[in-house]
Amino acid sequence: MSGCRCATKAAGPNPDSPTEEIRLEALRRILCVEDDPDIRLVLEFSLANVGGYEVLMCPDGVSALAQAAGFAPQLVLLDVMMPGMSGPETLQALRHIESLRGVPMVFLTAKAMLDEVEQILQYGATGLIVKPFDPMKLPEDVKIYWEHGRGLAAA
Amino acid sequence: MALPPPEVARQFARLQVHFRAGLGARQAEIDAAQAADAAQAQALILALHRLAGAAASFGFATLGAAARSAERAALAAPGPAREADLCRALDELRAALAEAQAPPPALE
Repeated sequence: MSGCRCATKAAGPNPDSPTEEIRLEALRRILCVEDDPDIRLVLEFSLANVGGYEVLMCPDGVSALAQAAGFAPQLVLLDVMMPGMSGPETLQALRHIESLRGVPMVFLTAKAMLDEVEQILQYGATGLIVKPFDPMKLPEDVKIYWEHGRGLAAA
Repeated sequence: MALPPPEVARQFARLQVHFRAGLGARQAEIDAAQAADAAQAQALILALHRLAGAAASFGFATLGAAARSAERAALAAPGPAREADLCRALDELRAALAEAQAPPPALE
């Protein structure tokens, strides 16, 4: 049920690189931006209770922008379709925050929108995860995007 | 810190109770949007889209599939074929909602 797609491939490890230490850093903090309250509940259950991550749930782009820098997420999960600021608009605004420029950002999108994948990824997302997702598997899918994102940062 | 598996199962069961409790309101929203005029078409599509995107994540896969089918029917071009398909899909969705709202069998 969980669809996990990566837009790009991770660079190979370079043990002599000073950024290798960064690549080995564990994923701990995830920012989620999702307007549906039920999906926020199951996202928090999945990422916090199943995955053990520290999670900041935001119901919209505005609150995410207000709290992101202070929370310092290592990965951001964003719904695509949201009232007000859309997922892509929120992503682009988050990228303007200096400390978040290298953070992997992954879209959550419904299966019905898969034909818009290329368009969605052009906004600069690391990849996307398809809704509905399996809450027991989502933490691992998110970790894969984290590892790919860190691989790119170290390249 | 991740919870131990038995606690994860308990927490998920509580989430399912919460989601099941909200299905009546979702059904009322869908019924109202269907009964309204064409201006409410977007409201119907949104209600179906939200249900389709959430249900399976709470363990209600059949309900999620029925909502997705109804959403696709609602998105089709207007016309008699759409109306017939949509009616059929919404009837199937109502059946799935009724089944999902039924209390789970008691454990012995």
